[in-house]
Amino acid sequence: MTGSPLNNVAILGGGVAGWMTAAALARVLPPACEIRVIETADAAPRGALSTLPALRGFHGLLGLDEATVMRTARGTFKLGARYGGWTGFDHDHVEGFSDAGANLDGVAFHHHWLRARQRGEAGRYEDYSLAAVAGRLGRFAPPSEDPRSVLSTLSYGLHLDSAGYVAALRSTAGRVAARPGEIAQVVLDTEGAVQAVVLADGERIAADLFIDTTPDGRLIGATPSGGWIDETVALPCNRLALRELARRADPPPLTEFETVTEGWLRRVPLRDADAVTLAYASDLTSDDEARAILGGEATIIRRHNGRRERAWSKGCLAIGPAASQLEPLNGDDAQAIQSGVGRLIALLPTAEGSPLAAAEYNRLMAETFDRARDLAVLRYVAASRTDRFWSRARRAAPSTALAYKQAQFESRGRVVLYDEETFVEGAWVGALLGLGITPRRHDRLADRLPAGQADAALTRLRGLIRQAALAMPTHADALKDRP
Amino acid sequence: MTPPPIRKVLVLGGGTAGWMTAAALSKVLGGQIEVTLIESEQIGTVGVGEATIPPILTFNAMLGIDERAFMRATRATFKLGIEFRDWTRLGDRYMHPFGSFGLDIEAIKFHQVWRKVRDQVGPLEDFNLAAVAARRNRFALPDPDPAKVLSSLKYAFHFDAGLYARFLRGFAEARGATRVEGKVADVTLRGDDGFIQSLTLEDGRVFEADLFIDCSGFRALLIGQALGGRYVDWSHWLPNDRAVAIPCDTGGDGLTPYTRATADKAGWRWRIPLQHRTGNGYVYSSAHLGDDAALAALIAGLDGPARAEPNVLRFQAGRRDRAWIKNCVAIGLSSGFLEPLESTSIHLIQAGITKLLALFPDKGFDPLEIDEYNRLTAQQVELVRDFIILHFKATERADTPYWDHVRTMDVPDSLQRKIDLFAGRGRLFQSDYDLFAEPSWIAVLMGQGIVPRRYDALVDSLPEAALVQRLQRMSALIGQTAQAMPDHAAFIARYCAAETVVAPILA
Repeated sequence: MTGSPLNNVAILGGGVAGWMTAAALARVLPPACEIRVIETADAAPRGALSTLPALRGFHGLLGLDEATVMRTARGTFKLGARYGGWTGFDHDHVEGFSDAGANLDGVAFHHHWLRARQRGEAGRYEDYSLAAVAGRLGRFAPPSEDPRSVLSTLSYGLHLDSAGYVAALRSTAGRVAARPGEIAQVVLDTEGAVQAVVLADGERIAADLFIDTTPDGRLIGATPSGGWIDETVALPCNRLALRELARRADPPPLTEFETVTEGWLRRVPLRDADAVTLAYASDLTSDDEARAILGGEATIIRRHNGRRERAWSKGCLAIGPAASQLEPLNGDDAQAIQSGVGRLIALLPTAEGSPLAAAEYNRLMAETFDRARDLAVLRYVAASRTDRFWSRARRAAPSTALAYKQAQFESRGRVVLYDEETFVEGAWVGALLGLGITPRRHDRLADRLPAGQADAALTRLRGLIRQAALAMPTHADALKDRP
Repeated sequence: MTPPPIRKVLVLGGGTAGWMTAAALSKVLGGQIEVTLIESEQIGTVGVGEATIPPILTFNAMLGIDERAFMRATRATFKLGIEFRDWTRLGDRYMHPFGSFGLDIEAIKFHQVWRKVRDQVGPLEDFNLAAVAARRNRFALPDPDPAKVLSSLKYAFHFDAGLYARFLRGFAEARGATRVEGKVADVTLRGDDGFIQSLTLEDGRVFEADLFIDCSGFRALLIGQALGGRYVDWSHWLPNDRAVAIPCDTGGDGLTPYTRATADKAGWRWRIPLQHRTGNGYVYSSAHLGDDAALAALIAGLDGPARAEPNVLRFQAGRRDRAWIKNCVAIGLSSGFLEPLESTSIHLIQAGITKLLALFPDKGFDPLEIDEYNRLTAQQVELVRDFIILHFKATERADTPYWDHVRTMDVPDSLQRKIDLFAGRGRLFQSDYDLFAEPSWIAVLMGQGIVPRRYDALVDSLPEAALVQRLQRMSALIGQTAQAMPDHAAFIARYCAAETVVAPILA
C-alpha cells in the first residue's frame, strides 16, 4: 500500500457537527490515528434537532443505542412534519415518513389518487400515509418487520436536544481527546493550505487533516478557495430566534411549522419542553421584535444561507455550518453533517492529501446541498401568503433544476429525481401535493384499472391506515415505554 | 382542458425493437389504443445482440410471459455474464458476471477488503456466484429463500433474435395488434406543425396515426429522414464501424452459460451459444481492417461449420440528438447505436419502451414531457457509452495500430474521473441513471488491470487474520453452491429444450 495513513486529525469547533464527525471517525479510523476536538465557545450546541430517519442508520454505524440517545437528548419520536398556513391561513398538511398508498397495477399511487380526486372520491393525499395519519392523531408505534403488516411502511426520525445529543455522541468517542480553546490564528503554507492553528493560549495545533466545524468557517474561510455561494435571495431567513416553551399535554410525533408575517415558526417536541424557533429576515424584523414574538426572551443566532464553493480544500475540510447553511425548514437537521461525514469516510485521504478525493467530495456535497435547498425553496415558491416577507421571497427565481422538477410535476405528476437527492420520490410528492402543486393530468396507465375498482381500493386503504393508526399508543405513552 | 387521448399508434419496422414495442403497448394499453405495425419481408432485420442482461426479466414479467415457453420458442440458453479474452493483454481473460462480489463488511466495501488481502484469498471472481458457476458451465435458478447463497444469482438469456421477434409478434397479435405487410414509399407531414400525419405504402395504402414509433433501424425513416433529427457522432471514441456475423454449429466449449467477447486485431469477436447453433460476429474498425480479413479471422475462430452466409453491417457509434421529436419516438437502432459489447442493444430498446409508457402522451404532445424523455434517454445512453469505452481504453495492448490508438485516445471527462478515482483507492460513486451498477464497473475495471493502488484505510480497522478467514469462508461457500448446481446443458434439456430442433437444411 502506498500513501501513509492519517496520523492525526484535528477537529476545530465542536457542537453537533464536530461531535458527529469525531464519533464516526473514532469508530472507523485505526487506533494509531490521533483524533482531537478543540471546542470553541461559539460552536456550543443550541436549540433542538428535527431529524430524518437516516440519522438512525448513522447511530447504527456508531453502535449508539437509540434509547440512550433519546434519554440523554430528551428525545421524542418524529413521524413527519406538519406545515400550517402555507396555502391559506386555515390550511395545513402533513408530510409523513411513510410513502402514501401503494403501487396499484404497477402505477405510482399518486396517479390513482389524482384520478379519484377528479371524481371527488379521494380525501387528502396524506390520508394514505400511515406516518402522516398517526402523526396527526398524536400516535406512535415502531415499524413492524413483517412486510405484510401496514406497520411495515412506517419509518421514523427523532427530535433531539442538541446539547444532550452532543453528550451522547461524546460518550461513544472515548478515544477522542477534547479540550476547550479559541482560535487565535490560522497559519497557511505558501500554497494556501492550512499548516497549523494557533490557539489563544498559545498552543500550536498541527494535523494531517483539519476539520472545520466552527459556525462561521474560521479555517476554511481563511484558505484561498473558501468562497461562499450565497443563497439568501431564494432563502430569506438570516436569523433564528430560539426558545423553549412548556411542554404540551399530548405532543404529536411531528415537527410543526407555521407561517407568520415575519417568517415561520417551528415547534419541536422534546421530553419536557417544546423547542421553538422563529426564522426571520433581519432587514424586515429586528431581534427585539423576534424576542417579543416568542414572549420576551430568546437566543438569537445569525445564519447565512448558502454553501462553500469547495468544502474540502487541501488538508482542510469543513463540515456543518462551516460548509453549508440551509434554514431548517425541511426538518432535515444534521443530514448535511451526516452526509459530509459519510463521504469523508468513503473518500478518506492519506496523510499526504488526496486532491482527487477532495474534488469528488466537493462535487457530491455541492449537488447534495443544491437538491435539499431546492425543497426548501419550493416552500417559498409555493406559499400563498402576501405579506412583504413572503411575497418578496416568492419573486426569487428558483434554480433551473427546481423549475424543471416543478414543471414536470405540474404537467403530469412526474417526479424528476437527480443524482444525490436527499429526499426520495415519495417525499417530493408529499411536499408538492401538500403545497398545492397539483398535476394537470395523471399517468394514463392508471386508467387501466376500472374506476369502481380503484375507488374501492382507495377507500379500503384509507380505512386500513386509519384503523392501524388508531390502534397505536399515544406518542406520550410510547415515550413512557422507552424511559 | 385536457387534450384528447391517443387512439392510434403506428410502429414502423418489425425487428426486435418493433415487436418488443408492439407487444408492450398492446399488453399495457391494449383496451385504450389501436396498435398497427408495418414491416416488409423484403427488408432484413439486424437481429442485434442476441445476448441480454438481467433487466430483461422485468420486461418479460411486465408482459406476463412464461419463461419456459419463451425459452423454448427462441431456442434460448441462460447467461450468467460475459467472458472477456485478450482484452487487457493477449492471453488474459476475465469474467464480467451478473450480481455482486462478496459481502460488504461493516459498511466497508467488499472490493476494498479484497484488495488488501487478495494475495491470501484468491481472485476476485471467486467471490461472485455467477462467475464461479459460469466457469464450471453450471446453472440453476435462484433460490427464493433469501437466506441461501443461491438467492443472489442473477441471470439473463441468449436467444435467437429472429425467433424472439416472431414470438412477440404472436403475443402482440393475440392482444389486438395488427401487422401490415408493406414498404413505406412516402411520409406526409402536417402543414401547420410538421407532425407526421400519415405513411403511404408502395401499394398506395395510406396509414394515419396519432403517434408514430420509428423502429426502422439504421435507416431511421421517420426520425431521421422525415423529421431531420440530427445524429451525435461518437466514432472518435468508438471507432468500430463494421460487423460481420455468421452462425455456426454448436461446438468448442458447447453451451456455455456466458457470452464470450474476444479482443482481436482491430476490434473484437462475439460468441453466443444458443440451443441449436452458436452466433458469432466480428465488430471492427474498417479504417484498421479490411472486410475480407475480418471475415477470415471470424471463420478461423468458429467452433464448427458455418450455417449461413455472412451478414455484413455498417454503422456509426452515436445517438440521435433527440429520440423523440414531435409525434415520433425512435426506439432501437433508429435512436442510436452502441456496439453490443455489453449486450445493451435489447436493453436500450426496453428502456425506451419503459420511458414511453411512463410518459405516454396525449394529443397535446406536451413539449415538457418530450424534453424529459430526451433528457433521460441521453443520460442513460451516455453512461452506457462510457462503460463501453472503458473496455478499449483500459488495456496494455499495443500490438496493433488499432489497440495502440484506443489505448491512448482521450475519453469523456465523466469516464476519466471514474477511472482516476478507482485507480487511486477503489472509489466508485454511482449515478442513479447508470444501468451498470457498482459490481459491473468493478468487474471490468479490475478485469482490465485497473487495480486500485491503495485500499481504503478503513479496512485496517478490521483485524486482518479474521478478514482472511471470513473471505475464505465466503469463497468456499460460493464454490460449494456452484458445485451443487446442475450442468447448464443438462438444465436446459430438462427445463426448456426446444421440442423439435429442426435439422438444418444442408444445401
